[in-house]
Amino acid sequence: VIAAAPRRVLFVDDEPGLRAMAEYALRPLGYDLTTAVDGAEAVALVAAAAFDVVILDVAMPRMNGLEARARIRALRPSQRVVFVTGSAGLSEIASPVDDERLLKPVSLEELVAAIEGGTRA
Amino acid sequence: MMSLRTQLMLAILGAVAVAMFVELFAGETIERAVEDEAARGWLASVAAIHPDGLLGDEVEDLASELRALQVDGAFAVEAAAAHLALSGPGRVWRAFAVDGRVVAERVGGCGAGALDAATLAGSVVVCGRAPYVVKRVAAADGAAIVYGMPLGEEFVRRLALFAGSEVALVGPDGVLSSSVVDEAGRPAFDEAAARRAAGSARASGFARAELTIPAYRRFAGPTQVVELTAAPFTAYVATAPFGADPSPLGVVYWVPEAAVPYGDYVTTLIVAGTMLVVPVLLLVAFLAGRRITRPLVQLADAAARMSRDRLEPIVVPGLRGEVAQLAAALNDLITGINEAKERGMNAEKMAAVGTLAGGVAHEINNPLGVILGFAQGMERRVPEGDPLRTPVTWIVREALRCKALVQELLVFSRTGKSSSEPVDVEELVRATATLLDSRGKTQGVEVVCEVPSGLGPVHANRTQLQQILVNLGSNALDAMATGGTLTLRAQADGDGSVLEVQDTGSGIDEAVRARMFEPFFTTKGVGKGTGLGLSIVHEVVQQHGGRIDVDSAPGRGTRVRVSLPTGGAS
Repeated sequence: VIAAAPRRVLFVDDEPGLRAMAEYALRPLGYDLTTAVDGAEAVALVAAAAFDVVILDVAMPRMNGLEARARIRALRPSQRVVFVTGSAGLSEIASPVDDERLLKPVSLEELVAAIEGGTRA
Repeated sequence: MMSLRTQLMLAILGAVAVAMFVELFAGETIERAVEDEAARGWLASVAAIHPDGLLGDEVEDLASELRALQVDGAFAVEAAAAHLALSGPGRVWRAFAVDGRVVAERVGGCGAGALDAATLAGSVVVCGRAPYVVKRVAAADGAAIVYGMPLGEEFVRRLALFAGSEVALVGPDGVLSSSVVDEAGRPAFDEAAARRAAGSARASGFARAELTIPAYRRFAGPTQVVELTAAPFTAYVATAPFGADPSPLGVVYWVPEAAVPYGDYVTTLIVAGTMLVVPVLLLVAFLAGRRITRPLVQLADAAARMSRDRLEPIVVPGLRGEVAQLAAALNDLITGINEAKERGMNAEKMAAVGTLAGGVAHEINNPLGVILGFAQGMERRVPEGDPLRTPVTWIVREALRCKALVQELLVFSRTGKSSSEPVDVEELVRATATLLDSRGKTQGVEVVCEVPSGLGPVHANRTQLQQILVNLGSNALDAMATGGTLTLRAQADGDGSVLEVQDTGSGIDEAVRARMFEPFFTTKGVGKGTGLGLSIVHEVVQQHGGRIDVDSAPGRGTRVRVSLPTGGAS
């Protein structure tokens, strides 16, 4: 189910394959997708434009997901963030505010559900 | 390093040596002490019958003096008598031994016995086992101090017995008495043989040969004393020129070449006995040692045969008593070690697999995410009937399978790194039951929930705890393809909680049961199971400090019991 106004999604991952995959799989579904290679770029993008949801990898060079989240929240306190992590520490990074986490590898259905999950909030 | 057997034999030898020492030395000391006691007793009795109390304190002094001399006990009595006799003018006593009894008489006072002063003068005294003394003492008042036994046949007989030799008493006129008699009972003594036996060097003159023992000289007193002593294995000649009469009186005895003096028979017997006994004891020690050590050696051999990896119980037939106990104790120990080792190996294996799996999964999940995402994106674009539809569908399906495996691996590798919280067990069990019930319905399985209300919380990781129940429940459902009952149970147990998952399914056979918690071990078909479900259960339970008990009978069902301490893992 695609919302009437295309959702603005920021997909942040240092893995080029995943960014390409997201563009290939999510764009046709009607999402307004932007990608970023690391936390720093993500923070800059969030500062410049509003996103419905930020899908954030945890382990990234330059600035990791945790720090990026903190900075994003500083810019936009109500910004939805969905963490995608492939490693341990899932529960460690959890804070009461973080409502969504995806475990790698992520299927398209999970990704869509996470993006759409925002409608429930 | 001495073997136990050698030590045993040495110990027995040592014991024999000690016994010999005791017999040879200590025994003698004890005997002497007893005899000293006899002498003292006798002296005391003398004092008692002596109205003047002449002896008084001298009794003690005398006794100790006698002990200091280390003289034979019986002789001591005699010597004491002599001393006593000398001890006061007008109080002359005589004492002698008759058949082991000490007899004391007041000379001239009682007139008892055949011994009077005249007869006794120049007597040779034989007392007890001691060498004998020929002694004549003239007291100041002229009274003769005498004791002992008159020279004569009795003396010769006793001396012969004592010395273990033939004895002849020779006077100036020839042989007076001899232990060797002819058919008529007359002394039959070969004087020439006696001289030879006596040895020319020692018997420089048959008439006069003096041999003394210093200790005896002490009792010689102021007058002339000739002492005769006998040493084993040698013949001596002694004369006693008594009093004014210089007539030599000789005593000759000799020892037949092969004979051993009686006095040494005891020692010889002890020595010979010991010589006989020692080999017997050694044999006994050897046999006893072997009896003791053989089973021990067998045990040691059995232990040596054991492999380092797996300690086999020791089986040595015919063990008895303490060694059997030892073997049993060793086997208990071995069982314990094996179990501990198995646990340790399992834990190590799990940890290693966890680390490896976590690493691999982590590296795989990004590429896999790319494959899966592209495939799923592609699947949406390729219409039904397109030649690419089948391959892309398969790629998606297999990638999803990989995803499930990778994610379970990650869960598995993460089990030790989770946080914990108080978990409401009742709520957890009911929630899981609901989860399982939807699947149970599809295969005719009734899911039953048995949880007492008011069950205390368990400190655990809720997600992991639920994973335990879900994994166990899924396996239970797999085992009941044609229906049955799945029971989820929770109960308090001591200071912990017990979670039970029971099914009425096909059960688990022994071979599977031994491996069911191994990572990647599965009985399910390809693509159906990752072989990690129970490994995760095992890991989670371990991390929470709990334990798992599996009770299963093939064909009748399985009950898995997970015991968790209230505290759980932190």
